[in-house]
Amino acid sequence: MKDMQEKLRAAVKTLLDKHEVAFVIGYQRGSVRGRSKPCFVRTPEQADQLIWDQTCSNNLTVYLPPLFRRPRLRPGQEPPPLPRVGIVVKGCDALSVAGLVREKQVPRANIVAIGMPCQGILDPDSKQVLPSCLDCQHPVPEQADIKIDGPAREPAKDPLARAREFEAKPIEERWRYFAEQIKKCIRCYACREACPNCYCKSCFADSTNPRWIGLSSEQSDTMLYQLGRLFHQAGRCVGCNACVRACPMGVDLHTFTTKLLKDAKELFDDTPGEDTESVPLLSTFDPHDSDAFITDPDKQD
Amino acid sequence: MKQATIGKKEIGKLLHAAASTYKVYAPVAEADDVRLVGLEPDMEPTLEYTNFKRSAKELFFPACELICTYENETLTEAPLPDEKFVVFGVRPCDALALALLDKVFGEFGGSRDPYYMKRRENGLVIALACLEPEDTAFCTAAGSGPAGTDGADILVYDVGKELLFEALSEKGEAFLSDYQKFLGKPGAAAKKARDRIVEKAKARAAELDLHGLKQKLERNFDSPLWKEISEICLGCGLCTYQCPTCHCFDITDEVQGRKGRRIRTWDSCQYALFTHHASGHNPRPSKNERMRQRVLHKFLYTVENLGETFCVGCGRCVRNCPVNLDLRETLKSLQGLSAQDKAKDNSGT
Amino acid sequence: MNNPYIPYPVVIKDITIENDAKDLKSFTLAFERQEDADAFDYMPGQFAELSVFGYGECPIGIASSPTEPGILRFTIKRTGRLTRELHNSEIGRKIGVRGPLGNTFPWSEMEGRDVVVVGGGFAFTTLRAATTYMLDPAHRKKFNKLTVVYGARSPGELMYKDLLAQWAKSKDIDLVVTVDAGDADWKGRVGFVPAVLEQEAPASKNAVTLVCGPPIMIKFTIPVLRKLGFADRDIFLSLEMRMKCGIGKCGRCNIGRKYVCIDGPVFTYEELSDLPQEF
Repeated sequence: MKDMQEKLRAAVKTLLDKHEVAFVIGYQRGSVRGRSKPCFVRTPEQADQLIWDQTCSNNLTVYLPPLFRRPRLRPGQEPPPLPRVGIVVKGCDALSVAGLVREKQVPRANIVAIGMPCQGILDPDSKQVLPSCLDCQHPVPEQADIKIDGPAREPAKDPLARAREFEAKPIEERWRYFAEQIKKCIRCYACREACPNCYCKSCFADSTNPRWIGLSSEQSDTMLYQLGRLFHQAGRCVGCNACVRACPMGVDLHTFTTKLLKDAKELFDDTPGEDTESVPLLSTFDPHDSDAFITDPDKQD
Repeated sequence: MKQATIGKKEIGKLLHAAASTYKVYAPVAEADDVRLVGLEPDMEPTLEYTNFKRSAKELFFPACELICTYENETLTEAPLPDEKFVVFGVRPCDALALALLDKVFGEFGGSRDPYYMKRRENGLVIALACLEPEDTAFCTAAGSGPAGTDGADILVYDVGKELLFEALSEKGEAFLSDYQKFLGKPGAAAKKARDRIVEKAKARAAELDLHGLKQKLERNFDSPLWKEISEICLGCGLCTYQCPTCHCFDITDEVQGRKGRRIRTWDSCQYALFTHHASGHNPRPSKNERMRQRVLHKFLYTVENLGETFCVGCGRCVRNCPVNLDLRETLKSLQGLSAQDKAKDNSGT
Repeated sequence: MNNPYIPYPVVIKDITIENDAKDLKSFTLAFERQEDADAFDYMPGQFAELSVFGYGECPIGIASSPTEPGILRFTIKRTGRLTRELHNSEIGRKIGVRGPLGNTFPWSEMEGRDVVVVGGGFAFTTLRAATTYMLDPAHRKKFNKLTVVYGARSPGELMYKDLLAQWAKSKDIDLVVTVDAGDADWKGRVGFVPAVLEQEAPASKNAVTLVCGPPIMIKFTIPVLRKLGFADRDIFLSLEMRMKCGIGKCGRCNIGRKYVCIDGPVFTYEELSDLPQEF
């Protein structure tokens, strides 16, 4: 791990020395036991702040969309140049980058992804690998521009098992579980803000005109918020689980993000984040798309 | 009765007995967590926790409060909460937070918030002094401390095999008298142990130095440090929701046909739309302004308006921030700013 | 004890369209209960939270003066969801009003002095209240010379046209009405408010000025006032902020340590200069 950290620092120093990027987004030592925190490195000297270990949990891709948001221009005004930035990515984070490129939120040419093979993020208290990392399919960031060598987890043999097991339960049990989880939700929106895909300037949950969902902490409102956000991630969520890690109350979003991945794969043969060229799932219609949910709604799939 | 003891194993009996008169909120172990919950007959309270994820503020200032209902444009005021309740096991930092909220929801601005104040009337707060605060806590620096006595009616000390109850208010004394059949007189050993806890708390070094911070905050509104501090912030608002002294709220109407209700819900100065005008103008358009507002509100404006810092050092924001944006580090950086007026400072710093 | 979150029930008694664009309407409201009318003891400068059930509340400056008893008047621009609903309302609709909220114009300070009222656009509403109050025979002698400079973008945007006509004929008030751009029928003054104010050059000695208008107007009016010799502490502005509770509890409308809903909305320019420029 220390070896990877040295290689990372060296790579970042080179990027900054050669002015290939304006800054690099990476991780530095956190102030709380077992945590790291994001940092923006602008000079080669600052590169020594960077760390790499199993506390590097944040999906740093979340900082990218605002960097490339184009401002409204006056007539005749030239658009300001877009920055070129470096970013340290784990396997899951690299999928997020590809997902954002696919959705045209981030130009691929402006990103230098430094890929770190990952052994799983550790829970700060128990020091065990987080349950949400156990289903990881992409521990090695294949699409990275600079690939740092190092050990990685074995990809999960059956990453969609969790969703499959959940679906097999009777519907009353599934509903009860969902309701129990949602009871913990305090509507703090940490999940939304930690998610790189939630880059909408204006979120449906905040809309007042019309007010789609109420602001109360009652189940009907919290469930609608969670379901709404999850469904907005259909075909886009890459399963990075940043939302799971951000949630202060321990709401089990992992089961539901896995379900999103399962549906994308089994119904539409799509794995978000695997490539940057395909059209996002819900942006296109194919007459051969599964419509069993209309024609055969009682079928358990 | 001012002081009393009870065997630790008996505390459940006392609280269950109280539950026949009051709604009792006590710490109960759940799946992976200890939470303050309404005590049911089949639950046993636990003392195995440092602090709760959710502060006690939600028992007095709930995340959702009904103001009124209306039908066909005729309004019906919601009845004020009238349930008598006991909250057992809050830490002194969370109890102090209630004393601080009393100031805002009390007479500040010339109006009283009837919902919060009624709950404070109806609620009895029994705080539990800390033997070992969380490593993210900075209660002493923030003016509280592991054995702080503000905001509670009774302070409980863990003196070994027993708990020692000490009444801090008339309400607290009355409670101890009402339940005296469960309680005993504190022996010398118990009193000594209690004194040791108080001394240890007094001797606890301030976890950070906040002296002179107010002057620096007054003079550095436009410092570029705010942008630096807020660079990694996600703007998620988690800090404000978990904070026991944050009290910002929203008032909205919900409607279904000709019927509806007006509710008050928690809101956060960290949200982009918090100060967004209908015209589109937003005085705090980005994260730096909003982060600055949070820190200045707690460490400057409330000091100027109410004479109090609105931070009790509970450490929840530090522990749970998704990007580990540590308020302690923020305050340390701010302490590095100059307290000199720009006009008077000739050194150019 | 009164619950400060519960509005008084009121009925819309009259709706007047104030401008050609029809997006400014004045609503005259009457209290349903006399005790509420008695409790609603206000002075010009204050505002109230107007409550439209199902749509929420919004803070609006009170356009009527307490010398117009038995009613409340608000002039409202159609901007968002709630104001649009109000504009679509009919006479007889029941809504709610919470207040009076905020501070007033500095009435005791204004006594025995000249008063210069400067207003632009639809921010003139509380200045209408102030002027009506001062012109009332019961109060007129308390104040010396009264000058009002009121401007709008175009003649069609001028509000309170009947009242302006009355004021133009009165000896108790020196009224100057101007528009940024005239039209074929306009025979009055043309010019931006700050420029017209400079031309009128009201005396600043022993005078106080009340200024309400869009930020751009304020920006150019302040230097003119200072040039004319007005002290910063004698220049009174009325601010707007997004509000919810209106009573200093919800934490939303602050500028620095001051809350616009309880320490304002009326602030002196001196006070504002001391506050963080975050509004």
